[in-house]
Amino acid sequence: MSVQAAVAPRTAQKSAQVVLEARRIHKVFGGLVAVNNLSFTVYEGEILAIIGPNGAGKTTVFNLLTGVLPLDGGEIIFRGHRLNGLPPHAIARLGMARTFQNVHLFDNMTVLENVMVGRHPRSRYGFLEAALRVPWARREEQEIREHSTACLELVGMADLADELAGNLPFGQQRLVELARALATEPACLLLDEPASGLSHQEVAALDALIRRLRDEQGITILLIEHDMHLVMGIADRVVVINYGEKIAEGTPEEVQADERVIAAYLGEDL
Amino acid sequence: MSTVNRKTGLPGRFQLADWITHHQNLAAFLALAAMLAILPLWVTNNYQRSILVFIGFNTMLTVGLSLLMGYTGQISLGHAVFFGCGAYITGLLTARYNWSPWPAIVAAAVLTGLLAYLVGVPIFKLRGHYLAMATLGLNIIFETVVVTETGWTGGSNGLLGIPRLSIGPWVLKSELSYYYVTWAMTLAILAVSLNIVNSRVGRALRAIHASELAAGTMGVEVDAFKLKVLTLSAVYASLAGSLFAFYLQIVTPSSFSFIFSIELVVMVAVGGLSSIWGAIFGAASVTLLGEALRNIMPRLVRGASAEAELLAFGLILVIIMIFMPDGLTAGVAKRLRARRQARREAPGRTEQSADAMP
Amino acid sequence: MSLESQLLQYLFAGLTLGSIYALIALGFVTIYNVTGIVNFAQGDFAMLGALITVTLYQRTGLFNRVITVDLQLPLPLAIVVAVILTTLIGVVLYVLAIRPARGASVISLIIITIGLSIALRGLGLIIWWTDPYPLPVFTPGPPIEIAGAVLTRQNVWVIGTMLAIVIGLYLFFEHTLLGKALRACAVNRDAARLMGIKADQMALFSFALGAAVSAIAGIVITPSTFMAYDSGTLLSLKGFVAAIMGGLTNAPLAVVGGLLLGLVEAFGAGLLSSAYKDAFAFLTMFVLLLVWASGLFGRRLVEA
Repeated sequence: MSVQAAVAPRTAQKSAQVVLEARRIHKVFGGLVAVNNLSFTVYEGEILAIIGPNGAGKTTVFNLLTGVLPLDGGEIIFRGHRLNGLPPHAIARLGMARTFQNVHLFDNMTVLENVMVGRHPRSRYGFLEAALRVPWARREEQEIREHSTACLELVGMADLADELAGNLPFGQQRLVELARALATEPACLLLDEPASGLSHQEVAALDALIRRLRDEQGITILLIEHDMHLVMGIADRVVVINYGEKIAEGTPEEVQADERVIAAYLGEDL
Repeated sequence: MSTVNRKTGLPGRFQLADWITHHQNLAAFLALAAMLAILPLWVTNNYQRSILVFIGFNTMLTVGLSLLMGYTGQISLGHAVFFGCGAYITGLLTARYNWSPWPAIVAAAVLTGLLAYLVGVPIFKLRGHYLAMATLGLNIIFETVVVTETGWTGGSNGLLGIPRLSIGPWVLKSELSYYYVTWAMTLAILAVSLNIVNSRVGRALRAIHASELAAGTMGVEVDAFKLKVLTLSAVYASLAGSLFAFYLQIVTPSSFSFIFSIELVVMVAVGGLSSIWGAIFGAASVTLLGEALRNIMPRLVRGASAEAELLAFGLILVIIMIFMPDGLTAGVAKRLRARRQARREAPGRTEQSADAMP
Repeated sequence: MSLESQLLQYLFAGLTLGSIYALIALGFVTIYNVTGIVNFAQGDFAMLGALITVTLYQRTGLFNRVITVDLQLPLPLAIVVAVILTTLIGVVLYVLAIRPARGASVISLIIITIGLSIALRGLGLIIWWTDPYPLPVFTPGPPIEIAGAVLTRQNVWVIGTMLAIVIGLYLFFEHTLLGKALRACAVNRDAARLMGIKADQMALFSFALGAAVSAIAGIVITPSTFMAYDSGTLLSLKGFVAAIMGGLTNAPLAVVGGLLLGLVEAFGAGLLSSAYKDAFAFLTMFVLLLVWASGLFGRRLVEA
């Protein structure tokens, strides 16, 4: 079955549809400006990497996009909806999914159950239907299980479905988290340092998986990553931020040549 | 709970073992119901039957608290308030306003649920210690109100004149009849709760417990689910309170003190915070232990009152939370499993995760 | 009595009660800062301190008068011994119940300290029964009269003790090595460990300090209010309410919180309804918590 039934096939031209637009978004933590009037646009079907030195405000951007933190200024438009003030669950329902830098799995649940939670925004039966086990709730439960299994197969974790998520090694937890995000049928997938803590082989597999998600499922991907090899190989475009401000934007080749980027990364390997 | 084996289509005689493994919850539920149905054949003395009735009340309360605290991770040290609301509203409507019992039970459940919802909206802005303290404070305010507003509640003397429960023309008088009514209601609550925990809703609740952040970004309506589960557990408590009022025919404030709320937390903790079956075990064992202490304590310490059981409850709570945070049954099972596994796999087993860690 | 002197009377009552809440709150803050644990048994230390003092000072029948203790120590000596014993109980509880649960979830730790609290309450009941016990006033004599309101000498003792302890703790935390080490733990436990401060010892010490301060609070209030096995619970709750005002971490604000809570209670009881005295304290707590949870201090509060 198709994991990505809800999303239209991606358009060939890059110039096409805008999926997500951040307009002068701003965030302050107790006087410290974490994100400073940052604007960027994400087009349908592209892989956009956000890079920057540690503490540049990348994860804060993700938290603003997913409604985890409220905006202090600016606005976010996602598939025609203004996200300002929406709670995280409403944004998830609109088709935004994410993973976390330090993996937030539901440790007390099995791998499959974790992914099944990802089906939450695409199913609707509630307390009453669950309590009475009405037939359509059981049908929906069946759909949830099948779709979640399909997502686990996609990331190659189906044989560990009944393991407790908290017991898995870190690399596999990342994959489960990715499957959980995919189960929400995202139009846009936000990956927060998906390669950190992975071995070389695992990074290579991740690289292939991200490409597949974009090519076969048409998912637009926003990526925060420190592994520059991965970023430069996979990203269509790169946005570089430092101190919460955008200092460069362009193709991987363009940003690598940018003097401000080199200055910001002084001493770090690009 | 589904009743038909998906593989075979019918529960045939030769597939019984297979059917049980596929429907563990249903099988356990049916076994429990059957056992409860015939238990009075052996338990014939009224005192013992009354203990069984109280285990029923406590199970209703504990199952709800387990949903709230164990599954959803929202601590409540004021659950006795909802039990008390159910009892007082039922008592008032029947004793003062001559309502018939069943409409009063329904009204109490609706009002208590509504109250829980209204209290939940502000109180769930709090977490951890603050939520614990706020719910405890709520319980103390409740106690103060019922003791003080004597015109409504009868104050410390209690609310008197509550009629017997009746079903149609049949007025329930014997211990046995209350036993069956209480456990019928308890089993209904149990069935509903088992269905809920094994569903999309149950997963969402456990997700909230594990990480509100991740649950929210996965589309779980965190605030709404917390409110709904609080309301549901309050309705359970109200039903228990209603039956309690009819059973004793008097309602006094001391039954709903915050100490009882803590006793409920002990029951949930003994059973394992997130386990519906554990909740029954916890309710039964702590009720029996309390009863035993009430009989033993005065013999150990001359004239010691029943409340001295607090010492035991406090110690049990501490010991269980330190050594078996998953509850007595799960804790023991885990230890046994670990020991067995250690024996089996003793010679050099490499950790699967070794090469994947950063 | 004129309205002015009536109000002044409530003020004195409020400051006295508030001093006790402030002391209990200081215990909460000290332990919370160093260990991140809210010790719900804080008020029960006050009960223990007071009842142990009573036992040492006067002929007391224990275990429902099975054992009679007839030491009749002089009051100051009884107080010192009682504070030391209560402090030791605090240390023992830390070692037996808190240390083994290190790393447990917040919900487990809450349940553990609640468990300790009701265990102490049960122990108090078994040992001292349900009687409320008095202590004699520390310095007998006529009360001080100010504008028609009376301030008893014991009230002066209570307020004075609170001030002395606040100043003493301030000097301790600011000017001694141990105090500075404790504060370092409060700021950052990991960094403190790197600096060679043993977090476990500091945690143990914070429990000792918390127990001692609570015990003193319990002892000074007993001559005016009596003490029974179950008095600790309300003291815990109100001390916690006071500590909330300082976000559980700020000691000076917690003291102010304690005094304010005492005033709310005294004026509420005097002017509105004495039956709802305790309810006022908790209504204050709700208002504070909800205003703060949704406002400026929101994040810190909800993440605790």
